Amino acid sequence: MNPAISFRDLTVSYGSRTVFAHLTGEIRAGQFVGVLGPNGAGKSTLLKAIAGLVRPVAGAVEIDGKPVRRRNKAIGYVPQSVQLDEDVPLTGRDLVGLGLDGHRLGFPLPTKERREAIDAALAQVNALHLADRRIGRLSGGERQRLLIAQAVVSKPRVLLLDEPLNNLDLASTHQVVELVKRLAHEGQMAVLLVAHDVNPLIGRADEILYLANGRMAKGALDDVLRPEVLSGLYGYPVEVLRAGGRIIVAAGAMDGHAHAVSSASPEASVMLP
Amino acid sequence: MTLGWIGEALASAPVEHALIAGTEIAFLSGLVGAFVMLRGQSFAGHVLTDVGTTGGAGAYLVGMNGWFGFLSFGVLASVGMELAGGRTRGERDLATGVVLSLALGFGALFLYLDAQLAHANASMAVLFGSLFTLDPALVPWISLTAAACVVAMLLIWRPLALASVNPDLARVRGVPVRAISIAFMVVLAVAVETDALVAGSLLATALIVGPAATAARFTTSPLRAGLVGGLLGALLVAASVLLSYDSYTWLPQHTSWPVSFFVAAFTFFAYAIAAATHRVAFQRRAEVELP
Amino acid sequence: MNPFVMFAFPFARHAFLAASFVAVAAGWIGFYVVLRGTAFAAHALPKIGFAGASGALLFGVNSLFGVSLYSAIAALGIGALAERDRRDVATALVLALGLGTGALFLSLGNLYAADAMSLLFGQVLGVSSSGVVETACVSAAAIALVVAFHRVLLFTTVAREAALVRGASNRTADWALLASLGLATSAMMPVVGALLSFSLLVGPALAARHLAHRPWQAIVQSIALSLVITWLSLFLSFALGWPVGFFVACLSALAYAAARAISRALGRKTQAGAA
Repeated sequence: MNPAISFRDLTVSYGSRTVFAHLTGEIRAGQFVGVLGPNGAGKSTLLKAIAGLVRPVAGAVEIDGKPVRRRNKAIGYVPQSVQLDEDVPLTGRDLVGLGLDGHRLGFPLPTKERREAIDAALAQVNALHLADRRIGRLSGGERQRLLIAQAVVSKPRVLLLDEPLNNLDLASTHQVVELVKRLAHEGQMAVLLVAHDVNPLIGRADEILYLANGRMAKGALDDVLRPEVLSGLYGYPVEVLRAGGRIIVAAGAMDGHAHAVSSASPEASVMLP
Repeated sequence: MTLGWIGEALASAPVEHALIAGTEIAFLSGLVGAFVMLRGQSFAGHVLTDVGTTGGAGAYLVGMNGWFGFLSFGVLASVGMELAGGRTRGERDLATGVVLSLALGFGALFLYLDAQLAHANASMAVLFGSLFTLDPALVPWISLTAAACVVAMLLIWRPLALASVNPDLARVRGVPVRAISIAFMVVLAVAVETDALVAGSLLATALIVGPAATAARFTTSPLRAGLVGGLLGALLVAASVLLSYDSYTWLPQHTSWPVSFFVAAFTFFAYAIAAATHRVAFQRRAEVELP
Repeated sequence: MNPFVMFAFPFARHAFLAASFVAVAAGWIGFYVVLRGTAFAAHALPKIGFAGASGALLFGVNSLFGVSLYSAIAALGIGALAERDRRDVATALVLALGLGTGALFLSLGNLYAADAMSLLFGQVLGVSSSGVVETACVSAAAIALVVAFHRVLLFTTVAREAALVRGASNRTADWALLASLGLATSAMMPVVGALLSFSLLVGPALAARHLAHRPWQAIVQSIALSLVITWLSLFLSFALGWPVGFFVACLSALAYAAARAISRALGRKTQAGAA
């Protein structure tokens, strides 16, 4: 059986700058993979390339064994959350409905099937109570769950989430990661989740895909977050510290001053609670 | 082709005044424009021209000096827009839009009443102004205003640059971000209203946005963008004044083509050429859609 | 004076009809303008349309044609430039160029101030019966465009990349809205004028979004408000002789302020109820 996502020799450049080169990997249905790496390593770009939003200069992406294309119902995508005006006249139900038929022309017709599909997606993310609330007035965690419902309402095979944990409090962060894990395992979806911090993923993500310096390492968390693996990626010595069940990746000190010490992300400075 | 007409043009007093006032305000506009670009306030800058028009029309109505009307309305509106604020750019633009809508409504009323009182030509002057009909007595005042604005810009330059690029960091460093923003809006209003008074409200939009947007193609430094934009604007205005003077002979009916037309066309094409040859210095990622 | 006297005159009946069509289009399209925060384009296109109308006067062609052609070119220009730079910059530059050529047309045509004034501020009482039909058709076309792209306009606003994955691109949505605004401009110009079209596009829709929860509610409320504002403005203008646009702007601002106050008060009540 084909893997849900597979990419071979994937290279993406913006102008003369190569973001990453010759990445190869696959993600099976039901597998939950966390994408980590420093800022600017191309985590979001990798996600967009897999979704077919960015054209690679070399290599190919296949979804369910077929080349990725536009108008793809097989892909659910949760974008980095946009700041919405408080008074946008859209409810949770409207937001999720767009995931079902937002690309079609004209007004949506209120059919029974449409209503049931939206209710089912809302139930999947425990957000039935948000159906008639205005999205501009929800908390970050609530809106994130609705965006996930929007992505899964069309029953995709692949779920891609771009930094869904940004700006969430600790409780919401754990809620969202648990939810994504459940969707992957119960719904047999291949899930890629881009994150800044490894810690919420510990014990929840099946694998880690670590991007740095245009290269990647992929495998079980304990196999990837090791000094020798990460040092190989970065091209200079990197330490991985473990303290109280938390993991801290310490990279840098190459340019004379100590780099910020942070959780799997050498460029984010505030990480530890 | 003989260039004798340039000498002839320079000898004429209205042309001289137009050149002096025009290049001064163009330089100021370019300088201020660098921050209008950086802060994404093109709409606000444009709205101030319409607000000023309303103020000017109102001033004519009660028989006051037009400049006073332009400036007072412009400054009030700029502070109002800054205070109304808005979390997102769209929200801020909508708040600006409400100010604009009201200003336009009152402008319609004032101009209508002006016309009733037989000041119809005054209202046209407010809308389209002309550098050539500039009151010579105003020229020193314009120079003074432009100089004061340039000095004010230089005084707030560094905190303004920080507050525009990274407001959070500016706050941490103790920069009074709100106050600096309001100060900038006031300078912007004075610059825009002087443009509008001197050369018609449409010119202000062209001069504030055009040269600065062109300069932004070549440099990310606000100081360099401001200087390049200012000099480019001054150059374009000088060329426009001379061409406008000469255009009197271009068509059989002997009408001068308006300076504002040349300025608008020149700034647009300067920008178009720069845009075609240089990508934005602060490179944005282009997303390519698959077929 | 009894404002209903105005219906005794055919020109007033035409004005009333034309203004009603325009009000529906403005209220409807305004919903998307407010949703996507494209206030600047909604202001710039009518102004550029004014330049087109002055060009039409100069060259002696139908002014509706001049307005449509000019706003279409401007919409294309803004759309094309916005792909290479920020949208507000693109809008400002196209606006300046459009107005610059407008100033040229006006001065070459030796137009009287009154002509320019009626273009800028509208001359609703000058609408003929064929003008009414034109207005109705153009308004309908403008509405049809945003209705066709309703879901795409919403989807690309709230989740741009997710929409793109499904084949709904933000670029398409932008083009559709700009084109619709261009059409609406052509319809509105003779009625409310170039400058005050903006009030009618933004005011009612802004007010509606404070009260409505769902898109269709916001659209219906925006249209209703827009109609009420337009009718009241016509009556007042007829009774007092002041320009229609002045009343449109004041009533729009009033509606917005009232809606905001009501929404605040309701919000406080629900918060108190929840606590």
